[in-house]
Amino acid sequence: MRPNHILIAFGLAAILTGSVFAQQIDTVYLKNSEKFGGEITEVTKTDVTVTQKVGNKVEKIPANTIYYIEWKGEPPQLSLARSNERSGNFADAVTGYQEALAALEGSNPRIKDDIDFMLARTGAKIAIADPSQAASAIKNLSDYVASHRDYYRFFDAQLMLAETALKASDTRTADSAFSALQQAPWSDYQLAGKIGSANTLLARDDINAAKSIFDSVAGTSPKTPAEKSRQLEGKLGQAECLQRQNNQDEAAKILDAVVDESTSDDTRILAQAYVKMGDGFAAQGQKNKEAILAYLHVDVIPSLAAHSDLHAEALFRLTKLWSAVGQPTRSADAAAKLESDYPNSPWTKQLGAAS
Amino acid sequence: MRFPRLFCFFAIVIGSNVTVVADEPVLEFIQGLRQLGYYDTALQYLESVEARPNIPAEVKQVISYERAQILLENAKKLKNLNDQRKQLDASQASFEQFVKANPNHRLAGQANTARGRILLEQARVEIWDGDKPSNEGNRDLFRKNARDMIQRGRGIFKQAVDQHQKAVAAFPSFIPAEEKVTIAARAQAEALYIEAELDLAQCTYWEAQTYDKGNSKRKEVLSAGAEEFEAIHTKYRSMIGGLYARVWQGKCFEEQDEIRIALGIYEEILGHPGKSGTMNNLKDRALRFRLICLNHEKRNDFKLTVLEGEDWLRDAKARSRTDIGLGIQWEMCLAQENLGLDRTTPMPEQANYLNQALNRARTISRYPGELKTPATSMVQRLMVALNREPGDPKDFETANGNADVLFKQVNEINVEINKLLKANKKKEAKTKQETLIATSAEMARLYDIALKMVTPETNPILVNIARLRLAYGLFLQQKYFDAAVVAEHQMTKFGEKYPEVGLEAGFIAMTAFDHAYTHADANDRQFEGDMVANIAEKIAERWPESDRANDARNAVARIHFNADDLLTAAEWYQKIPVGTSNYAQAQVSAGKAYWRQYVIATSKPEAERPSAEDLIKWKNAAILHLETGLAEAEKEIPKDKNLPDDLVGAKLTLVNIRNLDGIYTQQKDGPPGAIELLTAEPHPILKSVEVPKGQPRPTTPGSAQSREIASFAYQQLLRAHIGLKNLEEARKARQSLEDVAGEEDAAALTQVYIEFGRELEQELDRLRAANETERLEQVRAGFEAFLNDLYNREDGQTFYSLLWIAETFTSLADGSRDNPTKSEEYFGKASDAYRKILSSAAADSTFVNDPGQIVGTKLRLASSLRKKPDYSAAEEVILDILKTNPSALDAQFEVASLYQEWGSSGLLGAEDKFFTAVVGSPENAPITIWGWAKMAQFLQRELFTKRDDERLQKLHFDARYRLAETQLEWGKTFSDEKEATEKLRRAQAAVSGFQRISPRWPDEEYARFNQLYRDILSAMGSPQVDLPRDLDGKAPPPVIDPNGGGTTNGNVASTDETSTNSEESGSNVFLMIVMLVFGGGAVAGLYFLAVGGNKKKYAKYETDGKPAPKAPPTDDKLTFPTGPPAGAKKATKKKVTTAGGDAPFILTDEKPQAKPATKKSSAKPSAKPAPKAGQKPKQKAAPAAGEKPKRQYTPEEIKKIKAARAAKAKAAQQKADGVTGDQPRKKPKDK
Repeated sequence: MRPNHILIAFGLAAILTGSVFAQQIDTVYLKNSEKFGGEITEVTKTDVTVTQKVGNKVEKIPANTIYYIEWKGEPPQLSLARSNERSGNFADAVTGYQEALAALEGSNPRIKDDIDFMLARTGAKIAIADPSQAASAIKNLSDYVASHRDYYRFFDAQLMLAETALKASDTRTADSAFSALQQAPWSDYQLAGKIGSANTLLARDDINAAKSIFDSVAGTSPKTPAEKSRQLEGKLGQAECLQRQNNQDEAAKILDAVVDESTSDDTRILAQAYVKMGDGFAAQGQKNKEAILAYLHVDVIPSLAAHSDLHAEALFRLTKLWSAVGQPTRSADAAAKLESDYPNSPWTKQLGAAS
Repeated sequence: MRFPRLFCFFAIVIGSNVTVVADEPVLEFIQGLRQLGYYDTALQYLESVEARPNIPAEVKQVISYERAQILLENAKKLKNLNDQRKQLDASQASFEQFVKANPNHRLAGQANTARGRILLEQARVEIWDGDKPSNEGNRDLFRKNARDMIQRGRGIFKQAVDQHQKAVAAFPSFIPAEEKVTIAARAQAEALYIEAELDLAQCTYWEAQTYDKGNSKRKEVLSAGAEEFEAIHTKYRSMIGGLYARVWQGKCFEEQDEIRIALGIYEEILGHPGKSGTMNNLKDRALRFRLICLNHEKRNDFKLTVLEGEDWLRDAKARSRTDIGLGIQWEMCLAQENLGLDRTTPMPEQANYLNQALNRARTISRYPGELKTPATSMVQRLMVALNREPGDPKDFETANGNADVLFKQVNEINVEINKLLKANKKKEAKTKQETLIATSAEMARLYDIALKMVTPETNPILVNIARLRLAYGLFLQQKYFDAAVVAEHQMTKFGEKYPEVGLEAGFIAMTAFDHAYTHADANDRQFEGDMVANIAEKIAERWPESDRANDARNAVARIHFNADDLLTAAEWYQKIPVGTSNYAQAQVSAGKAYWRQYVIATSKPEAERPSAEDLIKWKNAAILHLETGLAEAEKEIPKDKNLPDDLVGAKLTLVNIRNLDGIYTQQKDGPPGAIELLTAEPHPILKSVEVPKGQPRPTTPGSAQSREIASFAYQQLLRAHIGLKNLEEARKARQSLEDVAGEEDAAALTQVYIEFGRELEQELDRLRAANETERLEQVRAGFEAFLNDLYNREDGQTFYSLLWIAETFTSLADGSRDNPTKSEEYFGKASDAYRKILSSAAADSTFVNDPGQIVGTKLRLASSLRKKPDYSAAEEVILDILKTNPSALDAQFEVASLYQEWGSSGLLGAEDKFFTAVVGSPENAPITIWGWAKMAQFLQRELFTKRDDERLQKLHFDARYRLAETQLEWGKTFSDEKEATEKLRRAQAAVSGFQRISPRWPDEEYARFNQLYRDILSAMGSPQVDLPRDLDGKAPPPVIDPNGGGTTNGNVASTDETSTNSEESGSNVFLMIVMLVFGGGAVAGLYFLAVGGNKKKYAKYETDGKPAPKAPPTDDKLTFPTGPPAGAKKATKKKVTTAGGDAPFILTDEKPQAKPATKKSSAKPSAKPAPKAGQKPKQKAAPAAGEKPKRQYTPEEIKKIKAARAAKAKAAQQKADGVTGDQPRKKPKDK
């Protein structure tokens, strides 16, 4: 038997034997790659408390810093489902989460709450690439927010709800969720709320009002990486406003700064910046190669391509641009990738329409 | 886009709500919206029109037809199958509504055709769905549905046939030729009729597909189909529709297992001439069907399938993603799968075939259509056959591990390619490269998957390596932008934390952009060049002390050098610090850059020329850096070894400068003179250019021993001895020059003398430009005395010695334009020398070897007399040539030049000569003179068949330029404003008209035509504006296949032969990356990609940095291309190695095992004479033991097959009474 088969067999055995290899402690993974192991003794909407048996050390971890929690006794399917979600295999992820829910013995309701959140989140991610799923995603997230007001995923769910609603042009729900977000105790989430409100204004074509909020966010002095990310989002908003006002040069300068200042973890910000950059170059005409290079970032850098809505958009733009520079094969390949990877994306639907 | 579109729509709708404007162009507007793809807007508009009360009857009548058309076109663009199906149904219904309401309308036939085709398309989808394994249980139901649809379609097509037949019959049998509109309408009606007949026959073919293979009913229906298609072909064998019917007839035979007959038909079609879009489509289809036959169990000619498929892909890459293109590749996949699974195929080849099939099948499986499902299944099969997990990995570790295994294979393939290249087996290496690309595609795919599954726990070092290898995989697939993007991301976002990986990533990014630059169109690669510079600057800034930084500086300098931004190039070369391995080469390159700057600047018109101080400063800088670089480099070269080629070029440049400065020999405390540099140890140039007696000189451009370089060295020696007034040594040098230049090609010697003369002329120009008046007079006097001495010698004069004297006097005259008396005197002496040749030849028939030399001498005499000027005498000579050689292009050029200059001379009545210069002689004149206008037309016609002939292209540009220039000069001579304006307008039209009919002009041509255009506008009293740089539709020609693979086997050899120092060293700089990061094996692949697949080289420049020749073609001079300067490469510091899956990442201070690319190694390839194409063994490797003999096709056999096919097709062509294949008939869209 070859090594891969052995690994798979081993994995299968782990799944079949249930909790044999399940977590013995709770582990909280933070966004900055740190982790805390122990027993989770308390969960509120703002903190998770981890108590370590050795030394009886108690750590209160702010909810906004948590990446995810690996729960003691969690069903083994959960890990694979998380991996599928991360790699963009959302359908498999949903199946995995549902199986994990079914396998849950009910001993720890917090795990169920977490899985419910992950299900709602994955649904929202699916909706980003397939607007026909938006309504159910918004409903699931709204339900979740309503029933988990004191769970550590509350504000994340609000943010997800707001963004999904905004994407679906449900500005009322978005407004309300973004406002709720501004009540969070952390400045990065408050800034996210502000940015969301500005984006809602932008969706209503109130560019000046939106820009004034973006300007204020971009002008903040960030103290943490999370705040820095929000500041960059504010700059992205500024660039968007300037592009809409046809001030491409200023927008380009801001976008260059966003790309320079972003860290590798700011994948969505980077992907957005590159898409906007590409838009700017394409709008200027005669800069097709520059635009191609910008959009390619979102196609070929795996962490950026993981943002399916932006990836689909980049592929759509590339389809046109490769043709324009006389590379029909690359154009056709980009179109085929868009069709096969994002069959329900609005960009796929546009493929033939504006050619 | 959205705003104007909606605005436009609402403006119309709102405006039309009240009443319909009677003359509102409703149908035109709908058509416009349809063409723009605004289907939803078109439907809304149609709805609003329909609701209006006073809609004109003729519009109302066709509303349902228009709606159906919109829905149909929209459906074709939709990607969602359900949406598409709904739109097709709606379209179908709307067409039906139209036909029912208007059975006799002129559009009824077209509506029926569209209805029928929708049904047929739906039937095809039903058939494919039914064939899916998942629908096995319901297959009969699917097929029954399909048959029902086909049956309905058949009924509709029958109606359409009748309707189109009536439409054709409505035209009179004879239409006078001048009624072009009616003729076109009849042709259109005929095309629709043929299409309808084809549609009808198609129903039969598709009906057959609803029965199982082997079923007697299927055979019966196919047989009927074959007859229907044959009937159409018989009726329209000279039309494209007839040929389509023929192809489908073949398909019916093939499916009845009549493979031989089918193949015969396809060969007939494939042999047709014509390369129009329609013909290509037809032939592609025929090829696809042919490959199906070759893969058929009765043939099993898998190797031929692969071979023909690859040939097609090379020529038709732009069509590779059409349905038919994918079909051809699908047949290749099937063949490769069979070969890969065939036990008689040697083991390593099995994997190659399977990998290639896998890569293609993956691509095909991404495309919607009939092949998606089978391609997806094939991917699964091939993964199993290749011992891989059929599904995609689910975590980083697995994906990364699997990718590492492939990475190892990629390196092994590279090693094999390296071996093949070393053994000069380029064809095999090229084949191996296909496997390399396929394997690297799968490798990159797996690294991409791995990177998408990174978790916080994943080892960051592995992640960085995976990203680097992803970039490498993209690079190997020749996706240079993609590779650069990934690598640059790694450098900028992770470089600080992981500097070693960051540096290597930066280098990959730079390499990728550099390759993109090399492959881009020469007129459109500014962006790529800027990107190389951008990344290189980042590397140099971030890792200033690294060897990579020096390579980066070299790269930036080279890009600037190629863009003629020479001072910046020199600055960058000077940034390479003393003591590094690149230093000597960089100094030499800086010297070359300064010298080229000096040369270009001195050749500029006085008004544009920089100051004399600047010129002297640049010349001195050139001397300084050349001396420093040469001294530094020569230290490392043993005294008994020759200089490498690039240093010979540099040293020759220094000799050139010494001759210019009059430093012929070394003076006390002075630097070595020209003679010492050429002859004194160590490393004399003349020794480097020598070849052993009897050995042919290499033809590799830039090779020191090539005839061009050797001849230039002896020219410099001759020049130095003339400067020293050493008659005897000069004679010997001239003899050596004759031996070198004329040893293989006597005609080339003439050219060498012309070149020598031009060198002299340029030398005089440079001295004049730099205000070195005293030296200028010195040179002029020295040459004059020397030539007079030679000329006055009665004995020992040969054709060549006199020619040399004449040419040198001509150049002296050209270079003495500042002194008209001297110039006239020198032209007179040149004419005397030419006349002496002619009289000697008349007296002694053995004086010349070839009668062509007499004509050539007369031509030079005419030119000399023209420039003197003695127009009448020149006219007498040139007309004498034309009397016997009326079509001699050079003579026609000369005579037109003569009349143009004569016209401009201001002599009394001379302006009449302009007429002859422009339009030539009258039709019945005893001597034919073309004039610029006919000459331009002639050259344009010639270029239709000889597109790649650079000389013709240059002549064409010159003729067009001179035509406009003559008209400008002519116009200026008129005092009558009207006449002047007419001529000037013609001049203007000559420029702008030429631009409209030409592809995008090269920059140099644009510059000179633009200046002329501005001059014309100025003469007209109009504001001076520039010509547009890019006209609509005249953008740079598309780079269909910038990624190589498009070269034919023959081209591979020729490309290799023309690869210069520049290319190899330029690439080698970057190839170092792979040595350090991936191990030596990868180098071969990159090298091969860079050389073997390359179509465009860096712009070559000359040894002495002379600007590109701008003289008329008759004055074409020899050039000595050595390529741009390149840095030596050596890597000694920390390296990052990625040894594969077993030992993924090692940080080490050890030197890399792979040999670093030092100066020597980079120079080595160019020093070797390139193999001649004709020497390549054409025999393929012997078949492996046990292989079925019938599957083996030697190249000779393949050639025979192709020849037989061509002959057969030719015969069929003749039989078909003038089928052109390019008849302006509409092709049946879905055939």
